Amino acid sequence: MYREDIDDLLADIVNNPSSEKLSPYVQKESDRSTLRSEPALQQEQQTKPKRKKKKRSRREENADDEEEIESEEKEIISEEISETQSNPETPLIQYRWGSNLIKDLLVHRLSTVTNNDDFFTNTTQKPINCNSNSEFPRSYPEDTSRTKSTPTSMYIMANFGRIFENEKNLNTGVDRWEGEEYVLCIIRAMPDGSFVMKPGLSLLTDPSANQQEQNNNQKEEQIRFNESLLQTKEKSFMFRTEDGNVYEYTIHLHNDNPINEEKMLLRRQLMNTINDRAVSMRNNLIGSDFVMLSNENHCRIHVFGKISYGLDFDCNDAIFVKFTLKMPDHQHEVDSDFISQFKLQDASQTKITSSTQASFPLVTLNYQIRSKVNYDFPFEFHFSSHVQTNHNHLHHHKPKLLFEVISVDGWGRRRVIGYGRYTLPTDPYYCQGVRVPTWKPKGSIRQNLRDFYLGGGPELEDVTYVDVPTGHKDKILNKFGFLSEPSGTLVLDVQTIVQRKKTNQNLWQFGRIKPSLLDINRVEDAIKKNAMIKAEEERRRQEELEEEARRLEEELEALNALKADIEQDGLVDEEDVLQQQQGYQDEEMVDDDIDLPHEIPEQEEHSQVIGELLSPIPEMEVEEQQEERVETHGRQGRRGRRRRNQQVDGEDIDY
Amino acid sequence: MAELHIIGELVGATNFGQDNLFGVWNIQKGSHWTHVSGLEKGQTQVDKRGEDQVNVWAHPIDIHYSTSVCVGWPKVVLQVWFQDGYGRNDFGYGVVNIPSQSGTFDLTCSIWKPLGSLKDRIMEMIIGGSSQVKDDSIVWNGEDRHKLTTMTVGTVHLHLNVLLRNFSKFDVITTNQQSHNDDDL
Repeated sequence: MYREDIDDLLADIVNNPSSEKLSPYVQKESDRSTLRSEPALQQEQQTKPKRKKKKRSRREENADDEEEIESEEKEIISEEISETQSNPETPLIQYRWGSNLIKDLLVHRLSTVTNNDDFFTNTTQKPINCNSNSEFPRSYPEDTSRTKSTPTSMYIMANFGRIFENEKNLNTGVDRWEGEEYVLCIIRAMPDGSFVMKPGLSLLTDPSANQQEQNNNQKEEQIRFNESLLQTKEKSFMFRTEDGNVYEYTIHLHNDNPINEEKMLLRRQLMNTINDRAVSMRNNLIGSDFVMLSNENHCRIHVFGKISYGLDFDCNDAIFVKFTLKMPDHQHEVDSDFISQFKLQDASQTKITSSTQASFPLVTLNYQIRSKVNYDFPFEFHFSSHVQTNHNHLHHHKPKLLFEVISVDGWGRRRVIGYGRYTLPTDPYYCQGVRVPTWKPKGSIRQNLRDFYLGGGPELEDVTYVDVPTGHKDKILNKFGFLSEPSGTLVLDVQTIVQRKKTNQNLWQFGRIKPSLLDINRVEDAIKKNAMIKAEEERRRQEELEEEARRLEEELEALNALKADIEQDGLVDEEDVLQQQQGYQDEEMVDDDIDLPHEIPEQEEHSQVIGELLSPIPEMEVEEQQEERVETHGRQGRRGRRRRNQQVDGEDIDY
Repeated sequence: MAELHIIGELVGATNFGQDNLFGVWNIQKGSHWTHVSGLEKGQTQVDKRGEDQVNVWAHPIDIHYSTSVCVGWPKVVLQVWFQDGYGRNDFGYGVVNIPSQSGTFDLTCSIWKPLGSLKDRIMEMIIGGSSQVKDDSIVWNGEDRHKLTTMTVGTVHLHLNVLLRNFSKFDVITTNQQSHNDDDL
């Protein structure tokens, strides 16, 4: 908090103690004032504004101009005298210092000026020649009107001189001395009851630290004071005598009076109230209102940005960029109830088309030749829209910026050297250096020649051709047959701020809408969904297992059938068997014997496995089971392949 | 009201190719924005260019704003003065939008310099001194910019820390962070 603030506050509190409900003791003060007689009150009321005025004037004064202050004080004193003279009948209540505790505290305070240290710098200070017999010399003309009982300034001096021990002043009894004196400190009493000390105290104590001290034990205080002396930085002042000696000194407040606990408490409370008031003042400044949304479905979108610069445009003439805001076209929407419709706020004020200045490019040779055109052209668009919560439509129409990059040559001929498009983000967004690549239409050789000599190259009649052209109704946007070539790049800064209710947040995540999460009980839905997904996984695993079991069973049956065939008719053609054997050997380089008798004992194994698979698997044996299953997979796969080979007569089929 | 703190510095300028450069900056904001504390404008020292074409200013910026609307988001308006050996001044202008998200940002500002007519340009070449923008609002407003012819000069760099407060209380969303969190649900 600034000292001026405190001064203002104090002045307010002193002058209008009853206006604000600050704290009980101030109210007491106001109560006490009612005890006075009415004329006294009136007089007080009369003097109040004047007091205020004085204080203001005092504050405006520059502390260095002593003469002015003096004259000011003179005025004030004369005013007071005149007042008392004009109302001689009014009984004045005489105050004694300390009789009115709060008021004394409030009124008589010591403000130190530590910032104006120009007074005591390293420069040589002019000494004041004096001796004990002469009157104290003053640099300013002495004020004759003031009575001696109202001193305004106190000087703390350093004396450099010598004492003549033998020569005593007869009046005072003090040894005579002669020498030079230097001003160390000036304490000036201001007419409003405050003191100004220059330079300030060396020890800068923190008032907040004072507040935290709850225990007012005097010893502790003393110890803390000593500690703080060691810890805190002392501010030392210095002066230089004419001899060239430099003296450094510090000023401390040495208070002989025992610390009055009541006073300390009051002071603390006062500081607290002042702090509170400062905080409340700051809060008032900050305020608490904000422009809210008109209803739940309302949404505001603010897009700020700037066109920073263009890169690599193949042109040495001045280039400018013209851009158009294209609002989404809702006419061709099949459903009329789309989620939102953008509206430009204060459309009458916003320029939909604007163009930057024509800027000459700067060619730099930093690693590679680059031409850069600076624009720094700010733009700002504000949209408002309404959300309909019950629709799951994706929002795919957003406002767009269409750019035309145009060059102007020395003859004033214009030529389009680039077209570009940028879709404004409608979600919260910030990006510096968004790159918008541009292209330019390519003409024939003849056109190019004409362009070179006469100017005016090929350009689009309608800028919206850069995007979906206006009035386009076909299902396919076909730009085939249109020749273009790449041009430079535009670099933008874009940022978007969105103001919308949080309930609509999910709805507004364009492209990431989850219909199941749109309801109010999103959490429950999500949990349900999770459960469903888990159940689904479980089911799928079960199905896999069953399918595998079925396959194994089928194989078993097939093998049985084969075995039965062989056993029954025994009339299998030897050629067939041979073919089978050759087929196996062709396909698999490593193969075990396919003697049928070998396979028979395996059947038992298979059936075992099937039984285990169908029965619920105990958890501990899962790994073993899996290993087994892998083994059986291998065998089964091989056999299955063999069998299939057999069926399709050796035709190779990849499974 | 929502509050915005801007703490950072005007780092310096690059690619000016000039020796004695200094910047003058001020902040432009909408009428609903209240300045709470901090200095809103300033001027850097004159800096000689180093060997790497960088003029360092390191000028502090520390401002506290409060606002009741999002319209009129503050901008830093920059004015770069460059003095030649004879004490003649040239001027460059630029504008930076203050980011709308909290975080640390290194911002660049492309500076342009106004050019007068052909006669002015010849005078400038011989006598020195350059034309100056009469009304500064053209720098941050963008209106009537098309009448102007400019030249590309250099880049000014800013380093800003942006802090937002209470914006989310009024349903103003500036980052996608929240929505990402919702996705995890």
